[in-house]
Amino acid sequence: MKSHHGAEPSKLKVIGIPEGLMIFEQKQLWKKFFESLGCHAVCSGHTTKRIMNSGIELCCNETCLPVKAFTGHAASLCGKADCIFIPRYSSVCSHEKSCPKFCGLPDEVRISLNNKTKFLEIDIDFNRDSKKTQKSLDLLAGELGRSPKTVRDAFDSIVKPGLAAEVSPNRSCSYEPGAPVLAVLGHPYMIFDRLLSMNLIGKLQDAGYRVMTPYDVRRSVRRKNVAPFLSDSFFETGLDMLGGAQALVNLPELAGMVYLSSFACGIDSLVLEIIEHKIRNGRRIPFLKITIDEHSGEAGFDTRIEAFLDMLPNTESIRREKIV
Amino acid sequence: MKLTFPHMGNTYIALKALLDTLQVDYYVPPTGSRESFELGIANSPEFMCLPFKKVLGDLIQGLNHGADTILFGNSRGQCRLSHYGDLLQNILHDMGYRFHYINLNFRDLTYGEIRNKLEPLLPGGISRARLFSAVSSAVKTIFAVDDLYSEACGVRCRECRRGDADLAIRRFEQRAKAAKGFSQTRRLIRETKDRLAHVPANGAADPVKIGIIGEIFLCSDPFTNLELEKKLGNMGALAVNTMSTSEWIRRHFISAILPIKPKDKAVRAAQNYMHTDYIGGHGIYTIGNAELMCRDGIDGIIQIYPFTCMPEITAKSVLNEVQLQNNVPIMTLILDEMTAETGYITRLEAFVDMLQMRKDRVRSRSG
Repeated sequence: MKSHHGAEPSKLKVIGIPEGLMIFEQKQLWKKFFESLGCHAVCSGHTTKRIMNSGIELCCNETCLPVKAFTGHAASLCGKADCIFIPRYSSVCSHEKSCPKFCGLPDEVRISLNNKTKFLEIDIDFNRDSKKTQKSLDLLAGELGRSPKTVRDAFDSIVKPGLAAEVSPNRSCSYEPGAPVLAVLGHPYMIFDRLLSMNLIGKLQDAGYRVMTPYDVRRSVRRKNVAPFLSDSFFETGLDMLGGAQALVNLPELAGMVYLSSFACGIDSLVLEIIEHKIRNGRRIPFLKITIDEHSGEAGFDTRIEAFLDMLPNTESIRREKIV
Repeated sequence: MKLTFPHMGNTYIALKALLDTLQVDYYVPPTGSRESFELGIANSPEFMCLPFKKVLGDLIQGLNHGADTILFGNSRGQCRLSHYGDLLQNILHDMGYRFHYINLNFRDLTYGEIRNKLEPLLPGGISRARLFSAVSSAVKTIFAVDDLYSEACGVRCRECRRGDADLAIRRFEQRAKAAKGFSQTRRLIRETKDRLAHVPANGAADPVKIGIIGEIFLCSDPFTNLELEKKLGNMGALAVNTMSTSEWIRRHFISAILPIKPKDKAVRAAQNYMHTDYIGGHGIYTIGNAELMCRDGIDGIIQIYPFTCMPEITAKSVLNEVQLQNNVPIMTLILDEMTAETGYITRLEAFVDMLQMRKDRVRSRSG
């Protein structure tokens, strides 16, 4: 136990929060949640080469790049925190579901790390069974030495409204009217992570484009723009991509779209096909899909982006016209 | 109106008999056809899973042969099967086909659901009682066919003359294609069972027992799993398949009808590793069945799934732990359209040999 916590009589703990996957977007929520319960929360920070490599070593090799990065984040917290917190995101609201890998994530990481440290988890499954959340919160309360009511209240007031937030914390703040726009699509923990995305957004901005992502569109608009589908629920990030792409495709300044996907991503294989179908049958804008995994080289990646930008029609003139 | 449907293992035998009974005109895509598979691969998204490509190929074949109605559906789970319907329709429309799509809810396949979806197809209408009895017969036939195939597994690994069981099954499949209605199909199953019972067997044989777990389509479809059961049997190993079409029926048809849902043994057994009851698809059963089979004493386990299958990847990440805890070897086979059969056979041979040696060593120690 850290010395500055020694004076506290309760089972105060240092909670480690790995900054990957869904927590990438919601780390502030969880940090606030644990701090409101009197704990100290440590985040794992940006993805580094070291984190990435340890994740690749620890994980089963079939899993995707972001899960490997996540495991690396969790491993980097061993020794820095009393326990590692991994929420089990099955679905954040009704009629939406997460990637199946999130449902088993706490167990997967626990086994990959060989039970080296203690783990805390919260079940989030509002589509199938919201009672599970309450149960897991009560267990968490026991672990933290707090009353179940305090923990439930903290969850309801701090975390719950942010799980399906209307405005994403990753929205871009800059707005230059007139500049040609490139839409970057992809899971938030891929496109906003500098290492995993090889700074895709930065590179496009340096080339003189304004970059917009589905997360610049309000959540309700993203949902409204999704065409009806047969099943009663859809993948959450899938909805973000489909609705976001549909909202962005109508921007007059839109010059092209880039979809960044991790190798063998199940959700993207489905969503990409639907988006491509839309683009083929609607406004035909240039579309680049880039698939990356831990073996991707940055030079090849850059070449593909350059080739795509060179191919875009008349963006130079669009830019000039708008400025004049 | 002409109906077509995709293959999943030997389901077509029961489905064909059902459609015969209901007097619906249909076209069965060719079984085990590389041509339809290639059609599916060519028109599918690259990273979509193997079952999707197979299903699409079968449907294209069906539409090419004059079918105008597709019988398929979608699930409600966390696996991509929930969205096959959307994607299939998109792709087939883009290819220029026009058709009517019947969307069954696979997750809760109740009588009501089947009646609602099938009734519009029957021009003369049908009484509830007749539909009920026809669907029940189809379910019974699915169970009987799966039972026949697992019996064949038991015979194949012990037969004195290699190929006897295969011959019986091949003849069954040939004649099943021509059979009409339930009674003919049932008679055929009985005859084949009889034939299998009379295959001369080596009584002293003590084959290694290998459990098959994994994604249900691959486990139950001999064409896509490159005849895993048959190959293992011919190597002298007894294959125990935990995932078959009847398993699907048990979980999503019978349990959808039952008023009280029984607790699943496999889900409970999986709790040692996964503290949840659902990781998408049948992933949790993969883990649970592996654990249950280890407890019952099995020599080895093969997990098989299509490349990029999300629930099975999650399951795989803890199977290593199952293997260590129980000291039972588990091999994972991941298949896609690029899988070469020779490499596949080599891996199976090596696995069976290794299990045989382990078994011999234990026996020589105890004996």
